[in-house]
Amino acid sequence: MIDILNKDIFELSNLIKTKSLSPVDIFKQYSKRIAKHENKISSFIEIYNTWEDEAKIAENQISNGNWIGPLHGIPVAVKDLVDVKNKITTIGSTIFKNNTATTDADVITALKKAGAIIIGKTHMVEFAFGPHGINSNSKQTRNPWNLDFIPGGSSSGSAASVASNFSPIAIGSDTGGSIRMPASFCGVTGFKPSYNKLSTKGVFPLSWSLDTIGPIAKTTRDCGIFVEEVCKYQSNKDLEPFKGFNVEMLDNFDSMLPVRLKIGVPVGKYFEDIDPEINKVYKNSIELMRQNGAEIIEIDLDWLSLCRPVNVIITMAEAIKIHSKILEENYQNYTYEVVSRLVAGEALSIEDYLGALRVMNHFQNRIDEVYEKVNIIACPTNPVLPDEIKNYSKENMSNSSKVIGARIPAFTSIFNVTRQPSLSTRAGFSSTGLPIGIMFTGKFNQDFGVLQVGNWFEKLNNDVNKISTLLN
Amino acid sequence: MNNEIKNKLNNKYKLPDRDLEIISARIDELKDAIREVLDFEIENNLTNNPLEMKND
Repeated sequence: MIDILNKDIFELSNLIKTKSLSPVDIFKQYSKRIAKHENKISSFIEIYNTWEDEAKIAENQISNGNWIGPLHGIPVAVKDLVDVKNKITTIGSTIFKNNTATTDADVITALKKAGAIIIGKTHMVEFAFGPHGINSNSKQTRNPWNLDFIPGGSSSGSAASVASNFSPIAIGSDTGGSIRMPASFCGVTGFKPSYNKLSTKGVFPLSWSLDTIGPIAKTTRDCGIFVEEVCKYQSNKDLEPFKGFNVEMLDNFDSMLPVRLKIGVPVGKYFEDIDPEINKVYKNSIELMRQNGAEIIEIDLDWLSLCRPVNVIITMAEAIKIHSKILEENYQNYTYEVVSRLVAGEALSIEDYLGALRVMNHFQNRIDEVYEKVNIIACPTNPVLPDEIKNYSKENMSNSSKVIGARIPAFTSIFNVTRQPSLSTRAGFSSTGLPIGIMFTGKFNQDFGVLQVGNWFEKLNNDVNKISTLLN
Repeated sequence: MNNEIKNKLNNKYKLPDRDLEIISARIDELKDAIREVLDFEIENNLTNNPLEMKND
């Protein structure tokens, strides 16, 4: 029997294409694992009972010679803010517990055309507004590497489901790091494409100026397959981020990549204020890439620290605009961990918001100058390690003047403001066995270059298939 | 949180007392962010001309 769980989509799809493996086999192995371990992790809100039937349909299509492409028969888990026709979209909120979608989101339409099987909805932070992965509305999603720790958010269930080997890939959304932060905390790969390259139609917004959707998967290569297939089938073809490249070319660059690869390593107070264990893993990763031919260039990027407050202002201003009416009528039904963030947005003035937009525009121009010296920026995904879930209790969050978890998005949120493509992949582990991520960020619209470097790094690092032993 | 904002929020949402402390902390953080951005705008003499702004 083929060990499906230890293969990425690239490998699975090649086996499916050659009829050595059926989507029904994939259904059987994954659903068996979900049945055994999901109660420990709580990554799914709902698993659709149509999965097996759809796998049989895909099997028939493929056996009749109608293989569509690399996502044909592949299961995809979906963050519960993306509409799937005739299914509930709760956005992680009890207010929307009966909210049935009447149409598919663009990304779901594209995935269905690509032959993917939508297997269910994953837990998330209420309304995607929080980096911790806490949602007191629901069963708490746990970090598969240590069940007492937060998974990161807001795409908490998506990252945890992939890290637990319940699904080979999941959809996330990212406004300040909500794909990359949980990917890093859960030890998998998450990719935020350049802004406005994947359609967000049918995805509940947090901030229309910053929201981006993208994949969380075991490998960079799988993230590339997802983006390529969605772009192939999404209605607006002008959003294409790969510009003449394709996923099969990813490996072609490995031998020549180090010769021309100049990696920018941020220096300065802001980027150096990180947990010592993260710093150690990060430095080792940079050294690994240097030893394999990359040129390492230190660059002062302390000025980018202002992107964090810019992100906060824009997100809070747009979020309160979206929620104002709902909040007025349903204040008591919002979770304690999210309601304060939303209400605080009422303190913003139009001048504050426009000022933040103006500074965002300034940084989008200024960051381009950095890429005259380097091809890619590499920094830790998060400056801090995952925290214990118990620290996010209502008492702790309500009585503290210090807003817990505020430092988690310190680096990720920068690259939503600059709208750049940004990928987090696993770099190593802390002494206590918690994953640590490294983040590669490229110039706007050069998504393929980011995937090239991520793919190259993962092969150097050589442990992408390592799964938490808690779930053996 | 100043009284003007407090009254506005209370009128609109009828805030429970227990939520005031954390909302105040959030607003204080937000005010710091606003100050940082405003200072940057002034120090860098950012243009007021929308025609000079980047359009993606």
